[in-house]
Amino acid sequence: MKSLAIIFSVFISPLVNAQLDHEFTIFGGGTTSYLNFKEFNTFVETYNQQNSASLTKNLKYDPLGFGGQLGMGYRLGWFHSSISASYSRTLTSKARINDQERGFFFKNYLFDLSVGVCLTKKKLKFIPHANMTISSLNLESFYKYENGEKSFGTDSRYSGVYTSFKVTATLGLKTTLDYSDKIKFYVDFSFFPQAKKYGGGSFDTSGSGTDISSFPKSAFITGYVGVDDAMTERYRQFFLHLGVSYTLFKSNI
Amino acid sequence: MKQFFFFLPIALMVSACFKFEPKHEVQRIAGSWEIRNTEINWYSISGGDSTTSKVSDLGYLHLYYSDDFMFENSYSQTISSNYTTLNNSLIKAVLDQSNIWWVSVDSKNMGFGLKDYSTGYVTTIATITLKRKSINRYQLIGFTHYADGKLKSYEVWDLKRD
Repeated sequence: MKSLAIIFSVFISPLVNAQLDHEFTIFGGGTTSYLNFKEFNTFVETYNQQNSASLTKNLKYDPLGFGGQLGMGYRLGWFHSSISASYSRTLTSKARINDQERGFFFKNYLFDLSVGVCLTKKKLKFIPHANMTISSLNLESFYKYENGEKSFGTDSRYSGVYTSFKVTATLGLKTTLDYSDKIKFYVDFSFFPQAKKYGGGSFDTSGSGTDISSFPKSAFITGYVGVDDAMTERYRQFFLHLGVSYTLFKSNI
Repeated sequence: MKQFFFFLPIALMVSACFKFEPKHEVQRIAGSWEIRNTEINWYSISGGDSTTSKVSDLGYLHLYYSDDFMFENSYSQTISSNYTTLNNSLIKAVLDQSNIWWVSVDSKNMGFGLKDYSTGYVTTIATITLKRKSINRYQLIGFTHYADGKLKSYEVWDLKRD
């Protein structure tokens, strides 16, 4: 009986109570992300152990990221779908060696195709949604010399841009608040639900023909980084999007 | 007006998708570049003093792009007489040893490699830091350091799209 009530409240009641209207919106705003990456934390620990004699400030991983989101949505009665692109960059994790600096940060590009259910309560709309997400996570590493210039080249170990790419599923809950007929504010929380199932790809340097190098999962790995030594794309990630949506058109069918 | 608001987000999203496509970066950099100036700063081992050498008008760097993944991107140079006077240049040494090039995502560095066309094997010679100054101006930046990690030389090549 309880399950029937849940099914009714989620799927049937919006059809009965709400007018079958449709609405097309564009939306955009800021993004905050949290990248829980255990393997990179392992790298950080081993890097600090390996360089303990020369480091004047230990490397510390900062998982918090900031960015933006842009997208468009379509709602037909209780059914909601959207496409969006978002970007976030983690704060730079730094180590200091006297006047020099070793830095790492992650850049994340996401493309989401989302379907969800729109539940309306007065000025609020709650949209639990599932997304197919194309996620590209780049690890960028630089060495900053004492003259203030950053090197992304092979003059120092780790420096460069390492890319990873995956197609995965994310879940989320979007809440909108009507400000006027056209304008709404929204909060959208989404996450990669099960981190370990996405493993497989490694962080490789992009663009070269066959001599591709990978980022090591431990600082104690020296020389060529083979498949077993490479850091893999196993991470858990949370996103909080805050923004404004604008209704381009809305009408009853 | 509605059409504008409809297509603007699509255009922005599509361009955002291309941000993580390395091929897009390579296409953007491909073409002929005038090597306008080079400046090499040499630092003493104590880190205090530096000497600078500058050379201008070194010729052109032609970066070819192949859409076929079976072929690497080759390059050639049109060198001036000034180019031959450039001594102790890291970037010149890398260019002289390589025959293919590539660019990383975000155009943070430019890779140069040596491809053996009989075996197909590619060896990376070096990746050089790339800095974008404007759409048509980039800088290639080379660093060398002493054994203790202190900066030994800092070299900048100013490139202008031809």
